[in-house]
Amino acid sequence: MAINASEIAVATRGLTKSYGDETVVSNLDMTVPRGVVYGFLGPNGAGKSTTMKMLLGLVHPTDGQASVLGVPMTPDNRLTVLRSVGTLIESPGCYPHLTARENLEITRKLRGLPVSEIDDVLHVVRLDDPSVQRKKVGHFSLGMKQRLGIAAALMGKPPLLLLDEPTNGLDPSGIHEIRALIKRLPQMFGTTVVVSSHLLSEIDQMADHVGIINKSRMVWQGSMASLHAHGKHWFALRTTDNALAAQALGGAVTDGGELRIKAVDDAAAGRITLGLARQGIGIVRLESREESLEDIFLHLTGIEATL
Amino acid sequence: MLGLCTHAEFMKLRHSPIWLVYLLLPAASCFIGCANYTANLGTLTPGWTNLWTQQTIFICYFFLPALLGAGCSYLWRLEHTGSNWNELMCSPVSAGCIFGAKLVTGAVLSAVSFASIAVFYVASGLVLDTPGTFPAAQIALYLWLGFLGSLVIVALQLVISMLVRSFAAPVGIALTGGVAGLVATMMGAGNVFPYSLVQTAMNSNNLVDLSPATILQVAVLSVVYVAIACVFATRCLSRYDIVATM
Amino acid sequence: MGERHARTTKAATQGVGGELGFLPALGLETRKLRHKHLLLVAIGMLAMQLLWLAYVVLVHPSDGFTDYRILLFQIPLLNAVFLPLLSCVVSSTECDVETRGNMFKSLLTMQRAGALFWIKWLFSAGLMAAVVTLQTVVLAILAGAGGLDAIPAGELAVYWVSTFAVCVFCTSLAQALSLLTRSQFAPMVVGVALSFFGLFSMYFPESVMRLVPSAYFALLSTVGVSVQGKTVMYLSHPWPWGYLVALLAATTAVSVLAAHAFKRKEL
Repeated sequence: MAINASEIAVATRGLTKSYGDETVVSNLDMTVPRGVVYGFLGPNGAGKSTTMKMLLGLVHPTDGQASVLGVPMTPDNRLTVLRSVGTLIESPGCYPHLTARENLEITRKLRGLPVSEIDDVLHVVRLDDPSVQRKKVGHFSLGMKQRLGIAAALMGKPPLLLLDEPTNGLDPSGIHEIRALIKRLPQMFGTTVVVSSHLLSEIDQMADHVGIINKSRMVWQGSMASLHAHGKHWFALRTTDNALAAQALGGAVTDGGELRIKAVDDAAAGRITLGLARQGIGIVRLESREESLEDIFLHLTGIEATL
Repeated sequence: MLGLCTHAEFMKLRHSPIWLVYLLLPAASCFIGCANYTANLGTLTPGWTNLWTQQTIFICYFFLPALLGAGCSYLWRLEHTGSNWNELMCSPVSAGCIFGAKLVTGAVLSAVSFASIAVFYVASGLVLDTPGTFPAAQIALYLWLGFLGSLVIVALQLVISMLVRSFAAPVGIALTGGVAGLVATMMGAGNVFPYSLVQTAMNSNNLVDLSPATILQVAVLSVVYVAIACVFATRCLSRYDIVATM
Repeated sequence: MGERHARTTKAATQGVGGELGFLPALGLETRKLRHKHLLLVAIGMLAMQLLWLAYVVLVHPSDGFTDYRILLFQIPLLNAVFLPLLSCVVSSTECDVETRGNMFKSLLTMQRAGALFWIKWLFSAGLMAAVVTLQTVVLAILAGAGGLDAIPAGELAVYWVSTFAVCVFCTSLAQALSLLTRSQFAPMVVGVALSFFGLFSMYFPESVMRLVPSAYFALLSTVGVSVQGKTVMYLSHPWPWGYLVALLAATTAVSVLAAHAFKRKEL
C-alpha cells in the first residue's frame, strides 16, 4: 500500500555512515509513519544511536539522505526542523551543578517556550516534589537523571520525539509509567515517537511499528501486527487417552504429553471437544498457544533476540 | 596495597601526554635560562651558581606550582568522570591508600620534572664549558630538598582538586599559591609557608648557602604538611558521602 | 487531524520563535556557570597580582618619587605571570561545563555550532574585559594611594586595550583547545606555558618577544626604562599599535579556524 509522503514523519533513503573501513550504518531505508510509536530495535552496537544522530545532524552521513517531518534535512534548515523534535540520545546530558529546574530553564530559553512548560514536564515525569527540586542534578539517581532527560525532550510537546533507550535506569514503576506515557502521546498530541531499544519485550509493549537493525543493516520493517502475524498459532490438548485422541483428530501432532492441532475458531473447538467426549476421551487441558515474539524475531532475522 | 593502588594510578596515565609535559616544560625553562645566562655573561659572573639561578628562578616561584596543580587536577579528573569515583571507593583498598597512591603518582611526576631540570642543568653547564667546580653536593641538596618541598604542593593541590571538582580553578589557585609563597619569602616566612618551601629549598636567589637550620626546617615542615594533607584527605574520603558526579 | 498536520508542518519549516538571540544566549552562559565560582577565582588571582604590585610600588626608589610610569612598567611583567593562565582558566571552565555534562549532543539540536562557539568566545572575552577593567581602575587607585601622579585617562585607555587584546588571544587559544580536544589539560598546560614563556621572554630582545603571545603585554606597553648607574628613569614612547594589529590578526586566525573545525566536528 503506497503511503502518502505527508503521512511520513521520518524517512531515510540509503542512509550510510562509515568511519574509515568500518561501516556502522549501511544503506538504511527507514520509514516512520506519523502519529505512531516506532520501535527501532537492534542489539548493542547495531547502529541505532548513530542512525538517530544522523537524523539530528549531529553526525554527517557518508551517503544517503534523511527527511524529518516531511522536510529533507540540510545544514541550513536543520535547526528549524529540530525545533519540532524532542531528543534523548544515549545517556541524558545535564549540568550536574544545577538543579532540575535550572537545567530545564536553559532548554526552555533555547527553544523559546513559556515558563509553564517546565512545571508541566516536571509533573509528567514525577520530578515535581519540592525536595527533588532543591537537589542538584549531580545528586540525582540514574533513574531521576533519565526522567529529567525525558522531561527536556517533552518540553514544548514537539510533533516528533527521538528517544534512545528511554527506560534505561528506571525502576519497574518508572518503566511502566514512561511506557504508558509514550503509548499515550500519539493519541494525546498526535506525536510521533521513535524509540530505540535492544529489548524486544519493551518494543513489543510500546510500539505500533518496528524496524529491526542488525550489524548496520535494516533487516525487517513493518507494523507490530504484521510481525505478530508471522507467528504460528495452535491449540495444545491434553486428554485422558492421547493416543486415541490423536487417531480421532486427523493431523494432530504429539508433542511430549500434549497433542498439537491447528488453531480453530470457537465453534470448531466446541465440536472437537464434543467429538472426543462421545468417544469416551476426557479433555484435561485445552490451551491456545502462539509462537513467542522472540521466536518470530529469530525466524525473521536469524539473530538472537537478547542483547 | 599502596603498591597495587599506585600501579593502578600509573595504568590510568597510560597513553597520556602528561609525562611529556612534565619532562619538556622544565627542560624548556632550563633552556631559556641557559640562553639568558649566555646572553648576560657580561653582567653575570660566569659559573655554575649563576647558571643554576638563571635556570630555576622562575620555575620554582610560579610555574612549578602551576604545573603540579595541572597534574593534580588531571589525576582527580579521571575519578570525577562518570561513576568512576563510586567504583574507586568500592574497591577493596583503604581511603588512605587511594590518596597515597595519587600522592605517589604526583611525586613521580614531580621527580620527572626535577630530573629534567637536573639533566639539563648538568648538560648545559658542560656544553657551555662553565668555569669552576661543579657544586655536586649543593645541587644535589637543592634538588632533593626542592623535591621534598614540591611534595607539599602536590599534597595540597590533590586535596584542593579532590574537593573543588573543577579542572581549571585549582591550577589558578596553584599559581596564586606560588606567588603567595614568593610574597611570604620576601616577608621572611619562606621557611614556613607551604608554597614557599620549594622556593627556599632550591635557593634560586643563591645569595647565601642554605644553613643547616633552614635545611632541617624545610625538610621537617615538608613532611609535616604532607602528613596533614594526607590525614585530612583520608578523613574526607572515609567520612563524607561519595557523590560521583557533580 | 489535517489542521494539526498543517500546524506541524509550519512549525517544522518555519520554527517557533527563531533561534535564541546573542544577548539572551550570553545570559544563558551565565546561568550555566552558577555555583562554579569562576568570578571568585578570577578576583582572587587578580587580588594576589595587585597586592604584589602594591607591595612593589610602595617601595619607592626615593622620597618624592611621583612618576606613575613605575606602575605601567611593572604591570606587564605581572600580567605575563597571571593573565594568560587566568584567561585559560576562564575559557576552559566555560567550555568544560558542556563537556562534563555531555551537553553538546543536546545543545547542538537547539543552537548552531557556530553560534555556540561565538557565544562562548564572547562570554570569555567579556569576563576578561571585566577583569581588565577592574585592574585598570585599581591601577588608577594605586597611583593615588602610592602618592604618584594620576595616570592620564588616555594612557589608561591604551593600557586597557593592549592588555585586553592579549587576554582575548589567550581565551581564543584556550577555547580552541578545550572544544576541539574535549580535554582541559591541554588549555591549562598552554596557560602555564604562556605565563612562563611570556615572563621569561621579557628578558630577551624584541625579536624573541614577538614570537611569544604573552610577551605582548610588554611589547604593547608605552613605558620603557633607562638605568644609569643607580638611577632608574621611566620613559614614554609611542604606542606600537603595529603589534596590536598583528595580535588581532593572530586572534582572528585562531578563532576562525577553531570555529570552522568545531562546526565540522562530529559527536
